[in-house]
Amino acid sequence: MKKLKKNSRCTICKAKGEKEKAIIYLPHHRLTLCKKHFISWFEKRVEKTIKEFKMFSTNDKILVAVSGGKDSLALWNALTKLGYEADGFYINLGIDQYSIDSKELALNFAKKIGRELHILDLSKEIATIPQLKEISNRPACSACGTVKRYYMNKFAKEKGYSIIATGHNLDDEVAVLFGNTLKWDIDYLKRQYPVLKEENGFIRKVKPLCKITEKESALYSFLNNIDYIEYECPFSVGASSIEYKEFLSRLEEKHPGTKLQFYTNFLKKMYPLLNKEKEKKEELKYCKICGEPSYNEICSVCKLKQKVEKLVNTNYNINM
Amino acid sequence: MKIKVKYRGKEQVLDINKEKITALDILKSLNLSSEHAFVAVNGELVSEDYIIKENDNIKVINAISGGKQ
Ligand SMILES: [Zn+2]
Ligand SMILES: [Zn+2]
Repeated sequence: MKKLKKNSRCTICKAKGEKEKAIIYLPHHRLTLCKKHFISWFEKRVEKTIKEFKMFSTNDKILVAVSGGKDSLALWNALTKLGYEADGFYINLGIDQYSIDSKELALNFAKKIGRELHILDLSKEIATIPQLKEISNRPACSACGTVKRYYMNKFAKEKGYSIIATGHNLDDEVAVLFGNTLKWDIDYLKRQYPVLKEENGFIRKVKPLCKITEKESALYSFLNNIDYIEYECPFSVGASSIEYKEFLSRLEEKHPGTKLQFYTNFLKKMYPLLNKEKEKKEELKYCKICGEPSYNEICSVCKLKQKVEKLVNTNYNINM
Repeated sequence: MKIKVKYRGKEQVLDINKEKITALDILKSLNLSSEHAFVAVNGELVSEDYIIKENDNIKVINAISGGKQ
């Protein structure tokens, strides 16, 4: 799209003496590609990222965190096509129409690629996100992040998966990196890596789309006829991460390659420096109630659960 | 000229004051950058200089998403 000239031909087809019409120009890679070659370029790039960061191999059983959005479905599609054994995990957050629609799209996609989609109903485990927001007095996204991480990890262990893969793309990673850099939040910067190793009851978590832009991921989904949820979770409206993304897009427009460079140079140059000193790690405990890893005696999800139970016991009406 | 577009799962009517409307004009009128959005006409991706024809089935795709944790 961007700066794609009329009647451009695909770079790869041209090299083979074919004349397929190009559909996209990737300025930061200086590539003009047809539909077929964009799809194979995308999948090769994902495969290369998996190898570069030693994320997993074909022997691993992978659980993909599926939201029904373009990134998680594109990731699941690419992993399956690349020959990895990957099932999906969908958490029904109970966010009105958004959850109803995204669940249906996730289920339809699972059927289409013939893989299993595990579904966990948050309302049965603890409470829905709108209820948790009321109860915890925290922003919905923060409670949502906490419970997603918790149940994802717990479920993967119970079902014997060795890897959790999420659909975070380059724009997600760059927006978070930018935000953390503006605040010089060293603790978060130290953990911003596309692989979080398995340790102390945590399963390895990986982000195979970390070098794929949001637009490339949307395009890949579009070209593969993947139906995904096109509107945002109602709670995410106005998030600062979206503001950062728009700002960084304008920068990228003027200087193609800025986002990728900001991210990859962080990983190459800054991340090792931040993790050089072997600091004494905060000691990890295990939750007294559920036994999952936690920094406190009782983990944050069990604390939320206690709050929910307390309210139910005092006959408080949670009407959402 | 008024044109119907599908955007974020909903139908919208855009009123663009121009004779010839391109895909880029549609992005602009929705305040979207081509850095993260694209236009599909009749199910096919089109370039920004594509001129919209009558009866074209237009879909705008915005890649920016948020709220992932
Ligand atoms: Zn080609
Ligand atoms: Zn616990």
